[in-house]
Amino acid sequence: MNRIFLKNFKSNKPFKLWDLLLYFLVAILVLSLFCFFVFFPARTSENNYGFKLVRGGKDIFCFNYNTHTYTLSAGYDNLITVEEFSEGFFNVKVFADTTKNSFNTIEVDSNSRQVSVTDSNCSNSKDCVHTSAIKDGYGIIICVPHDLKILPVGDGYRPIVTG
Amino acid sequence: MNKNISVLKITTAGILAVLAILSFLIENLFPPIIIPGARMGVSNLFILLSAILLGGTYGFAVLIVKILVGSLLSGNISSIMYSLPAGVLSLTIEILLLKATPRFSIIAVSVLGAVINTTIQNTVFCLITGSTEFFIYLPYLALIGIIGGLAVGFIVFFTIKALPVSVTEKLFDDKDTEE
Repeated sequence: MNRIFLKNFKSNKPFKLWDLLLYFLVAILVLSLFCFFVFFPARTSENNYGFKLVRGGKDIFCFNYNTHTYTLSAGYDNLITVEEFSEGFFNVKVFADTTKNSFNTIEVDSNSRQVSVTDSNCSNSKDCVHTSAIKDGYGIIICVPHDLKILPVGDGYRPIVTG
Repeated sequence: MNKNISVLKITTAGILAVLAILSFLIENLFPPIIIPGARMGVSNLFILLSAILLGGTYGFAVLIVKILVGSLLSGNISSIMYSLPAGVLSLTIEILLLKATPRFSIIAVSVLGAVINTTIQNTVFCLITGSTEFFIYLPYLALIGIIGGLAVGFIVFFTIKALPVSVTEKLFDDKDTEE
């Protein structure tokens, strides 16, 4: 950018007619994103019966809302603890490794079939804690620093986009 | 004289880089806007300012410094993987649009850059983590990008308008008069 560019820039108006072209392109992009990812794709499971934890592409834990039982992958007995603190409410604490310095606390409401992350020491922003709860068999919670994904499971479960 | 002006440009770029890093860190202290990872992108304001006032090279330098240092200080080093390609591509498109033709306003260019930035960030994030399910947030992130782009565009527009000519003149030497 040079002197003449800046001089022209200072004399510009905030809106020009050709801006409509850019705004139109943006609108088309956003609309197509909504159509492709929100309006038309099939939602997950009609018979959502639980949720699962995935680490390194491998299912490590699966919880069943109906029976209040769970399955653990081999080697995770010491890294995942489950505690029922109220009727139908569970706290699942997941540690990232055997030092138990890194954790995610997951709250499960098996009555309303909801699961959310309530605490974690993953990073300053704690995006996993601020992600909305998985309910109605729809949604996903990801903790990138701890390589943890929480996904709903059900009979008719289909991901939004098959990877 | 030329050496002093280069030093002035470098110093200005340094200050803008620090402001970009600070605003990035402050933004990270707040919870995300509705969707995980959603931010207003206030730091892009200083990147765009440096690109317009100092040139594309300085703009990219401020961008890269902001992403690297900001990610290190915020404790989210993995974000470099998706912030860097998204930032570089969106800034490239913004600079090309601004330089190629005077037909577009900075506000519209900022909106387009913001939407491209958020779209590419989310896409790269989904591909790297293998979490294609996260694509459901992409349209909402694009909408938040529009709002952020509008805000940044307006602030850059009025900031440059308000800068006295005597201040901006000091940033250029005689070679910068050529079109």
